[in-house]
Amino acid sequence: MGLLRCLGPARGEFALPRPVWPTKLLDRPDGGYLEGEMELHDGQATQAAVGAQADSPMASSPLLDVRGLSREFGPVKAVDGLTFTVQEGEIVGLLGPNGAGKTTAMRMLVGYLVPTSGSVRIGGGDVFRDGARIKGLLGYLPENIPLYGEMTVQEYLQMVACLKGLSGDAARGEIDRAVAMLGLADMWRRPTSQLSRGYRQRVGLAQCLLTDPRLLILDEPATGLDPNQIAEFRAQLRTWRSRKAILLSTHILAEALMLCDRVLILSRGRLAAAGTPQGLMGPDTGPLSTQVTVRGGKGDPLAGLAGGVKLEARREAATGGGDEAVWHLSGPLDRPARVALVRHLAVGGWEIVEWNTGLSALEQVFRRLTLEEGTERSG
Amino acid sequence: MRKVLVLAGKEFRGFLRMPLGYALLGVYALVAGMVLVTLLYMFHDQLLRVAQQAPMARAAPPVVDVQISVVTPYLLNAAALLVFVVPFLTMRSLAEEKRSRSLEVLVAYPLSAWQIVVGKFLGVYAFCLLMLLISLGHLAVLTHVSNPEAPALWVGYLGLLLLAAALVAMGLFVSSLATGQVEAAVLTLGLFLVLVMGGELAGPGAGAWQSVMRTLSPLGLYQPFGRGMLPWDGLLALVAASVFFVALTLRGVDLLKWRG
Repeated sequence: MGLLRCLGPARGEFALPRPVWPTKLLDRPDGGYLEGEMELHDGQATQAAVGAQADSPMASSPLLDVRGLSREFGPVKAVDGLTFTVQEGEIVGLLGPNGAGKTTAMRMLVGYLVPTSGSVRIGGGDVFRDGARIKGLLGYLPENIPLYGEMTVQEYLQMVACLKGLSGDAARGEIDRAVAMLGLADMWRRPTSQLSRGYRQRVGLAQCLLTDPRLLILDEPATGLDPNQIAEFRAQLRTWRSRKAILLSTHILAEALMLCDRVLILSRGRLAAAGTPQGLMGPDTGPLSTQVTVRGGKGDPLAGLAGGVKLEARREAATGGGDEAVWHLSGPLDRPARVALVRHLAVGGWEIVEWNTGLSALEQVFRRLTLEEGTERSG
Repeated sequence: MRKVLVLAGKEFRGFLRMPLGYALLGVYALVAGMVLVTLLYMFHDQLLRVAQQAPMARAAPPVVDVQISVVTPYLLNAAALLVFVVPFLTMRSLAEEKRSRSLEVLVAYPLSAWQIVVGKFLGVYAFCLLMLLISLGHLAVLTHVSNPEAPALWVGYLGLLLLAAALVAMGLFVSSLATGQVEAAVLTLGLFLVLVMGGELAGPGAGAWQSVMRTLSPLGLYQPFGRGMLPWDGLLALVAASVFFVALTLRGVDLLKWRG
């Protein structure tokens, strides 16, 4: 069970955990929260959350510590009071629609853009004041994977190794390691301008990984990859997770769901929500769980369900009223189980009104947060 | 320093991997060569005319000097060619890095801004040196067909080296401000032409603004070198211009972090 932590004026006091349901997304919490629950954020709550987390004797020092990060371009606030941390051993996803401020935030994290206010600390050092020292901890890949087209893969990685301070055997060793890890041996002497998108991404990742940085910042790394390449990429990230802190931005919810330990949802420059994907979707949803809305039948729709399908069901009155009931089903629901369930409901006279998977639930949360954030801002 | 040289090497090799690099080398060598050939023909015609008129002339025949008739005009034209070629060398140095976002990746490395800027300057300048080295072949032809003064030639070439450095530094600065290659090339060429024409329009007058315009003109600063004279003030001015604009480029790259 996760640790209980507390927000509030007296840090260190414990409060009873508050249940969080998807229907209560718009409540503003002022009490405690469980790990895994979703947090809603305004600037102040977020600051307090980070502060409490940082002050807790049980919290280890985060590798990436972002506090109150803001960036204005004239009258436009591209990033507004962003606060979060990333620990070693976790993958954190930065989600948001186009124009939410993800790329601007990442540019500030790597020291390319100076924030209007706030701070970025990597490994305890300020990214602008201590840049030369801490940038050795960092590997960064922008969205469009900018390589130098006139250079071969070999020349490019050798150049990057030197720019990162490697030389001689150390450089050769790091390059060999990256090439082997990412399967670049066949492309070694090819100009980067002739590489496919997938191989360009591998070369981009290879330059990130030279010097084995502790923090990886990846901006939309899966964009443009085919499903096989995405699967390979996910497998790679999982192997790196244990030794690194990884922050990746994406607008592909499936990627966030399958890959990220925590998710930060950005909307119009502000942090709209943060938490685990499970926490965002609610306790009864998950990648393998299903939310089914049924009507028309009598009693328990799962009574007599055969086929070895084991599901936990919870009934909730549907907002539409009448005899329509929402049943939340959780548990492994593979293809045979789905077929058995559909057949069972049909025989029992139940009409299936809606069928949502875990991914759809996350999509609904995302849409609700990012669209409503826009409505609040413009209203 | 090793990182600076690696960046310079990358920049230099980049020109040799692109058609643009070879096009610029070819254009410079060809046009400068055509200027030299034209001047040599004119010099030859002048010599023939003087030789034909000499028996009938009452006064001493005019002195036809290869230095005045060939070498100085050749060097002044070679300098003017640099004004047109350098913008195309510097246009992609920083503007393209910004557009393609590769500058973000460079900034994320343990590299300082001065290493990036100086590395790029040295890389582009090295390619300029290659261009001038190739044009030394013209001097070989010149020394074969005539008898120019060697010290004056070398002073002229020293001036070309200093002028190239100043022009590259200015072009790099404009590239740091531009949002794309074409914009960088146009703005750099425009800046050079304004400075050169300003110096020409100022004329030989002794007023303060005329003096300033002549000082700001790259070709105006080069003229004494082309005539075989080593002007210490001109030398210092060209070196100072190089240092000044590299420093401004550094400031421009720093300002990117604020402007975005």
